Amino acid sequence: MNPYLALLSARFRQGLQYRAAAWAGAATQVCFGLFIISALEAFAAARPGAAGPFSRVASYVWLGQALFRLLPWNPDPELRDVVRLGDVGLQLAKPLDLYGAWFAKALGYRLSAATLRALPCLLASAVLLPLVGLGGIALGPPDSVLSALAFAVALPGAVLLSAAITTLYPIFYFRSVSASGAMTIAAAAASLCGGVLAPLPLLPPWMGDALALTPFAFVTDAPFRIWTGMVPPSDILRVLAMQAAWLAICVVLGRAWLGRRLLGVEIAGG
Amino acid sequence: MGGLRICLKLIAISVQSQLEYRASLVLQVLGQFVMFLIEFAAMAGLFARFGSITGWGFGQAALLYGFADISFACAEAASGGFTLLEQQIRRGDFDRVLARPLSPFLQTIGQELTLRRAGRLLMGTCVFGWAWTTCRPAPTAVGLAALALGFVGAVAVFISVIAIQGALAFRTVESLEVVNALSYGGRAVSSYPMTAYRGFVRHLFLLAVPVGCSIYAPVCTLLHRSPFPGWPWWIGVVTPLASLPFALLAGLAWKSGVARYESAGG
Repeated sequence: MNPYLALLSARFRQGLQYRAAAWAGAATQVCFGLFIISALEAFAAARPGAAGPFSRVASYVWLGQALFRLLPWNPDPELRDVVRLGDVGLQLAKPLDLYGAWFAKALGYRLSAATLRALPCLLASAVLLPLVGLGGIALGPPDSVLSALAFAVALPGAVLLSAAITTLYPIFYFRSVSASGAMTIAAAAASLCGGVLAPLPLLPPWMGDALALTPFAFVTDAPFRIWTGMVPPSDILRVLAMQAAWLAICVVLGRAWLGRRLLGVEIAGG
Repeated sequence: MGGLRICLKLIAISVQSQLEYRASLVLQVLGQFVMFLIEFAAMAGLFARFGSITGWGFGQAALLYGFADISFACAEAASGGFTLLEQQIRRGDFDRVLARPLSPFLQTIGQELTLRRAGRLLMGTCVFGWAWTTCRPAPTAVGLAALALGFVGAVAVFISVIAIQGALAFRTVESLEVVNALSYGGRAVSSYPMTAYRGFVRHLFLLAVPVGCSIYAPVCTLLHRSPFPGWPWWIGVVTPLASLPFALLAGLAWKSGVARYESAGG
């Protein structure tokens, strides 16, 4: 078996162990989805028409809650400790490309965390809500066949991009042991740019459009806009191309950066 | 009384130990400040787009947001000890707590006063101060009393929720995150007027977890407006009392949790 695939699958299966925690997490996400949608409904009522059809907004929020853990808001704790505790020396001794190994692990980490939460959350928002008479704020189906197909391309792209951004974080920890302050800010920036704090299409255009250009927006915002039909069909290719461009930039940057860091690395711990 | 003195001494030690790593603390406080600044930006964006929410303008809603953040930051800092419980229980370290001649509650409270929450407190104070100068409420004695009682009530409710989360750690250490919907969720929900929400959300945070009684209603009293159709404007000076039974409930939950403790590990 390819060693990188093995790392990915090991990290994925390891992540799948925390099932009870994931159910609790999904329940929390469903509650937050209801709070957010309820507040946005009241906003939309203040200026009718400004938000577009509200069922789209609800679907956008639900996808954001279901795929909440796809948001690259933290480093893989394992990789962070590898740098902090000095195990990176051991990893360098292995006949593996370090960036490739880290990327594979980050991918497994994100994939397991997102999958575990997504399934119960999707079930609750798409099936349960209509059953209890809240169909108006439930997760709706994709806008069209084209949206569904484009989403099927954008989602794997989002997972890869999220892993590429996640792989950049442990590199911060080479520089400073107290990177946690910087990570707090990165987490908040990711939630804002990714449209998790407030859907980007509901912000004033100058703000929402600018945030939509950041890499985070191609992880959680762009795929949801595609699903809900907020991206016009003629724009879909452009959005997918920008997502691919950010993926390429993050990977190239991560590779170069890690390579340079390793030239001057001092191992802490023993 | 002796117990309380030891608890204060423990808190002083916790503060001292955090001040040892001053640079790291400053960065963390700064990080929290910027984090909540970013969060506030999202809310500002929604107001820029939609103008108002159920008749509340940005300045008035910011008053709510700041007040909610101030009380949540204080509660979160004071109850930092409860978040350490999960690990203590998993490792069997709670044995030592039970062996000491001081109530487990005071020991848990005493083990940490989380200083980095100062970032959120600072941000909340800034927002509150800015909102005050923007909407210039004409404060009456009743309004200020409501605000003071509301602060105490809101801190009590938030600490109670976090204590309940701690008490649940005696039963399960895996599913605790669900309580975040009430703590972080309660904070998030009380940043907007309660009239904005659908009935089930409103009832949850007025009747079950009465944080709305201590944040929304007192701010209404300060602004001299009725919280819900038909309610008098001064009701916010009374509603914070709802946190009393909730705190008692949390106390009971805590007691029954501690009684269930079985040592794991060693």
